[in-house]
Amino acid sequence: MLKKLITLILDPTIHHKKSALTKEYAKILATYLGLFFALLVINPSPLKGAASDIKIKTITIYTYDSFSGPYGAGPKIKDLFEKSCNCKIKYLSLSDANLILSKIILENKKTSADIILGIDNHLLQKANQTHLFSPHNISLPLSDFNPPDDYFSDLFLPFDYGWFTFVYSNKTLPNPPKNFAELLNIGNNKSRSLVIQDPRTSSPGLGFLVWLSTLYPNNLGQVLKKIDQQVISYPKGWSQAYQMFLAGEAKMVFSYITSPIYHQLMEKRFDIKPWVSGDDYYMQIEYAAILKTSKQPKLAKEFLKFLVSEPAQKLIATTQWMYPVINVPLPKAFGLAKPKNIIWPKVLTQQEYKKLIGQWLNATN
Amino acid sequence: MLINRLAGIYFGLGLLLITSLLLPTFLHFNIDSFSLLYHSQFYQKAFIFSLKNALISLAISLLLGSFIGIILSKFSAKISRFIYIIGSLGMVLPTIIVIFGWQRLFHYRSELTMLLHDYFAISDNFFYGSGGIILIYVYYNLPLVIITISIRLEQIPSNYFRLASQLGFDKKDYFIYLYWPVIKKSLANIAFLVFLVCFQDFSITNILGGRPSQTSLPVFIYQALIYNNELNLAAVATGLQILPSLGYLFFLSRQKYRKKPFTASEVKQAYLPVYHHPLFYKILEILVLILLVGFMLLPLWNSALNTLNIIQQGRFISLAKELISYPGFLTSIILSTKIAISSGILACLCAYFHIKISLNRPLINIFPWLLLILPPLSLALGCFFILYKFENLAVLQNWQILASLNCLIYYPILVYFWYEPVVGINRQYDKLVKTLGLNLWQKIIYIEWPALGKIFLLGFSIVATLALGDLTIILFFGSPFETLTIIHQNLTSHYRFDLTIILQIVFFMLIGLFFLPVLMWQLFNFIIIRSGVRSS
Repeated sequence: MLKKLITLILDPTIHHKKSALTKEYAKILATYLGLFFALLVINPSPLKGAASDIKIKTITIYTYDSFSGPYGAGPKIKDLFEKSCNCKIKYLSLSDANLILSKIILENKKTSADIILGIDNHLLQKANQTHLFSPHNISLPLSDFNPPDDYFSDLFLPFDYGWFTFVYSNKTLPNPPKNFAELLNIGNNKSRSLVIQDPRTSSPGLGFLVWLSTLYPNNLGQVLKKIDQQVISYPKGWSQAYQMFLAGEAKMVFSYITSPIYHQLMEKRFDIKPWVSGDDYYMQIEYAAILKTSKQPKLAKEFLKFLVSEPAQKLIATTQWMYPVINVPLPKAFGLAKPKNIIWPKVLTQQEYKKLIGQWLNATN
Repeated sequence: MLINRLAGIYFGLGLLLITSLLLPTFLHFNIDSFSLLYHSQFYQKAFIFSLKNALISLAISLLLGSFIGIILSKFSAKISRFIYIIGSLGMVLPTIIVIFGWQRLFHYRSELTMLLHDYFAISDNFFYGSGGIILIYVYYNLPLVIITISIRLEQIPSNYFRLASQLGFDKKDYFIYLYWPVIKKSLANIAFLVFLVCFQDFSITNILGGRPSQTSLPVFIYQALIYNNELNLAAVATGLQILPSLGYLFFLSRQKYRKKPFTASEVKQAYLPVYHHPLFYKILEILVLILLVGFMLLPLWNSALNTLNIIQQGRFISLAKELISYPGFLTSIILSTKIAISSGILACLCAYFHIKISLNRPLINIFPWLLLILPPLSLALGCFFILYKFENLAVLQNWQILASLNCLIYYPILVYFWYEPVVGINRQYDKLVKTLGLNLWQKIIYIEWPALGKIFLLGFSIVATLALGDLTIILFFGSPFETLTIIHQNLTSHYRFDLTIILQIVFFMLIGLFFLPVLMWQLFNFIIIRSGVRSS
């Protein structure tokens, strides 16, 4: 076609062949449309692909992107489990844990998820009230992980835990504040320095709010207003916030006490430090649960068992950079990072959660 | 006869569609949600934020647009045409590409931001909030205002200028007695339209409004639905957001029969205004022209510079490989292309048949007008309410729904642009068609396609490009259904600017693919005309 087209273009008697050119144009347009209709036949929709695969069973897991992303524990756990189960794992990534639960509530019994992975202790009550989850019947062996009883549930299986704190680089912030009281006064409106996740979408963001409400139960509104003056942005998820910090846009980011261990062990970078405050530390526990509507409940349970087994727990420690819920050998830095003063606030009810979010919305500017 | 029957069916279907998209929203209304909304400080903040941004950007766009429009109306037709193309380019470019271009200039701690911070005490994160949002609004609205006003001003008869020159008018007199009466007539219409576009915006505030106080009304609705599962609250907020659109519809109905500023016989566009230009004004005009072109092309220029930088560093190939292996990238190319091309074809078909059916039936024109001024979010929400009741949203997230919704949003634009040419050709060849007894298909092939093919192809390309950059509907229907815009957003939010630049090249390649039929059409016509000249 191209050869004929060039001949026609170069032909000096072209004016006699106007219709020939028009035909050539029609052919090109037809080829263009043909290619488009060929494209219509290809349907790469991720969920449809899974449904069409009849022989191999598939478990769909709703999780957050820093777990399922290329640097998270998700891909490696998937590879390990798929080798042993003759099944397929399909992750559906959302920007953070709160969105996972919101999506499940919205989809309700029509959800295609078999498992949700990543909701934390702040969302336990809310998740419980949905009546969408079935008991896992898995008991954890005795270990260093021993939170109060109300942090355990028949429906939600803990798979990792860690303590929240701010993370900073001692290159950009050589003298970090010593405690929250100092933190509230480190900058002014024109030079903000903190990045904290949005508590409506992110579990660390909500964790920060709960931590602050425990430390300042009487004047939370005022404290939030003061903190807000230091905050550059409230990204939707942890990974966005952390990238913002790494790009140098913020001096401190709300993260985990174990985050600097990653930089030390993987990048040999020792300038990134956890903020050591004089205040008590607050813990986050992450859970996985099986949906009542799961089409593969046995397989889903197998996956949860695998999640708390030694191979997966080792991976979680060195890829998610969180503490495992069973005792496994860990790099020395994990032991050194463990805080001494810990608080265990009671698990939030739905009303308390709404009230806290309302206070935060009113305080932020 | 057939057209009459089709008109009836079309009217019925249109009515059913609009009702079924709006009704579910109204069915979710309840007193509690009204009360909750009334007492919600967050809602009030969102309302004020949306209103403030819309009004400020409207004022800037109108002031600057009128000023540049007056200057532009004096330039030769070639320069005006060039400006129109540049302006249209800005209007068609995907929002994320424009935002990214500006973001690289004004990001936190960029040289320009630091300069503004140090010398003008402007907050170093001003771009993430009202500052950036208003800037992007002006970027999109300015060409619209300029083009509308300069086209109006070009219609002022040249003898008016001659007379003004004889009377010794100065610049002020020209403005008061010649320009202002003309500008005034189109000002209310364009102001309403610009206000609505800004007030209803979802994607720009969703990207740039990072704090609760920088939440616009559409983002408030989205968050109520997706974050908090408050369906009734989202429905009530959407219902209230539709009110300004209905106000505009009422305004349009009052405007319809107003007299045009000048009759066709009065307008002689061949004569340019004849009056003396002092050198100062000449320089000012050229300066304005350069600044305007610079402003419109800045985001693209920025992308081009970043690309060159990557090539110079020798990272282009490695980054391209990394992007190809990025999870979901290849899938997203296919999905985005499918959505864009299907939206383009569907919108072209809908617009063409709408124009055909609506001839001599003005009532039918209410559908595209309604769809044009209703917030896209209200249509998406209506569709959401219908779909989520019946099926799992994750399964329903297929490209057909997205293409249909894009078609609904964009086909009214095609109706607006195609109406006059299609109606004109129909009137011109009406007798010939009847004499030859041509049917609809033959009429398309022998008359409409040769005359209007380029306009049809251009319409397709524009809708496909707009659908490619869509960030409203895709966000509404969840994240597992990844398109290029979602990947672009993920990359920028994770600070992978180098990969984002490579992704933008993919965007431009796809846009080039959509405009390929138009370029081919131009090329073929060029060959035919040239060979005709050569032979004669």
